[in-house]
Amino acid sequence: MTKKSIFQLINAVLLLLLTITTIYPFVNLLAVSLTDAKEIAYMTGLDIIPKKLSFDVYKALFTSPQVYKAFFSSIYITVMGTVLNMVLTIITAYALSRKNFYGKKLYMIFLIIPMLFDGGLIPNYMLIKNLGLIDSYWSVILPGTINVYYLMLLKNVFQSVPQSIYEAAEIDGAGHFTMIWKIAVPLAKPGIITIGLFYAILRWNEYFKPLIYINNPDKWPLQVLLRQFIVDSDKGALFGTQTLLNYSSGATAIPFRSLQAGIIIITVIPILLLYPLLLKYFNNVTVGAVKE
Amino acid sequence: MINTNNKILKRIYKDRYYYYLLIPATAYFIIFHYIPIYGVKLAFEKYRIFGGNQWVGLAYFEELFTSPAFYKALMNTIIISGLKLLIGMPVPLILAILINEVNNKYFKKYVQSVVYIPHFLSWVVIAGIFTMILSPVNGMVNEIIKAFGGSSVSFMTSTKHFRGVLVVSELWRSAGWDSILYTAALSNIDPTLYEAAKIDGANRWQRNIYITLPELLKTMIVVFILNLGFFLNAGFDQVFNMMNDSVISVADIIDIYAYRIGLLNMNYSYATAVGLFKGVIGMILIITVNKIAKKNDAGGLY
Repeated sequence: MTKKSIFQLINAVLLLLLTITTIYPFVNLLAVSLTDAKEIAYMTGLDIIPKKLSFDVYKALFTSPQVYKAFFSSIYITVMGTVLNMVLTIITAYALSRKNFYGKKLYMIFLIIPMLFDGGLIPNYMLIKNLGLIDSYWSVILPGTINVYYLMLLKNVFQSVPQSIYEAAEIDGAGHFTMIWKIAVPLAKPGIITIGLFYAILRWNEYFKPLIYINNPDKWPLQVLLRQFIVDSDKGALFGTQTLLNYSSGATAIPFRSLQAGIIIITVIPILLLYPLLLKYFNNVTVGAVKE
Repeated sequence: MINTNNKILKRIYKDRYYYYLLIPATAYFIIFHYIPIYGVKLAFEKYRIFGGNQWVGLAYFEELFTSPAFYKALMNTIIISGLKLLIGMPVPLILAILINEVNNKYFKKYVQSVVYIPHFLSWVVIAGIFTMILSPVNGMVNEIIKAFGGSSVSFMTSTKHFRGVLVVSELWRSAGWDSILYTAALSNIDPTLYEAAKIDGANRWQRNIYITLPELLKTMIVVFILNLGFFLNAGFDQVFNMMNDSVISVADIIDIYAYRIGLLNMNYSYATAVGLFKGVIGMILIITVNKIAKKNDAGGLY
């Protein structure tokens, strides 16, 4: 073997090991969640094949009203939040990308100041309280309406649209909303999809705002439920105490560890489903922006 | 004078629709960013539910600067941030070089796709995963330790190991994603440099040391400077989801301290003062490092 191919081999093995440390925990958790309750004691952190296949964990999770409601809350926050994000980010990025209107420089400073200094935890909490948004989904959705990084990214993408196309449309009597919808958005499709996916993932991962602003457990998203269940080890949060007693005293008692593994998997799956789409589009957009 | 004013007004009138389009964003930033910025005046007031707040000047800052708990939190922040900065800096760079050396384009794509994944998971999920793989009973890491004849370590509840867990989990989550910057820098290196070096008889190793590394070090300096701007953010979401009462002495960073004082003990004014202290230092750091980055022709943060 030549020196070069030995290096190539060591490098490949090293990178392969690295990817295994990323994937292995997920496969292990999946295997634990799919193992029959009676065999779970024999499943260690190294096993990646279920000892005896059983879907009891997922049956229990999906029939739990608490999990069901949390799933709905997560979907609601993600969908409504991402739509709001996209509408406002697109409109604003379009306006900033087209013309050097009077005061534009000042407006950019207005956008940058909140990146440098933010009021902190308590002033934000007071604001939500004073707006009467406590216990509402909007306490989670509204505060993250525009992410300035994504706004600037989209503005740069829009700036690559040739002005002459807009000018031709203007002569034909097109208004701004027509130009956004018919020209800017279709021409910036990879950028729009990438930013939409980034927003959706941020929304799905939202846990702190619902934790401090939403007191009603029926409105908690999955992330908060997961936190209660894993970080605070609060078994009652998942099933309600009564149902939990039934589960742990019945013949098919489901071990806590299996439930933990199952709910992590449920929380991660939507992101893994979006991930291939993200990989497809983001390369052109982000690497382009980084190079700038 | 009247003439120029007229010109400006005419220009504004002509572009009026652009201003209309900015109304929703402006409203959003005023309500959800500028009102909380104004809200920091609570740090100078005693919070009262009825009858309005009472102005107390710098009383809460005096309390802050004489509080041992605050100094402890500040020290924890500096230590945790420092560890992450020193250890977290070279790893993505090395990763980018290793990935760049892969010849098979499918394997390269596979490695990149996998190492980016953890970046998209929330710290709640990652805390859940780490709690399980570090479990002293049957967690993956302890199984490996036992297989080599060692005895179980309770990583998550040990003050000796917890900061290490923070650094490693941060690397697990971000090293892949952070390597993107270096990958972009690598693709910007002029290929003729390598050709020339080859003709001069430089081997692969020498080409990496004398061409690739200096180019990447430039990027690393920029990343380092910009990260320095966020030095007081030792990672609230991470610590908040991974810590427990037994490690609080090594994990209580400023943000966690403000959360405990403010939302758990309901001492709103004092917690606002803690937040303001951190905000002002953070702002000074960001503006300073941004100036340095721009001076070094590195392109700033904004």
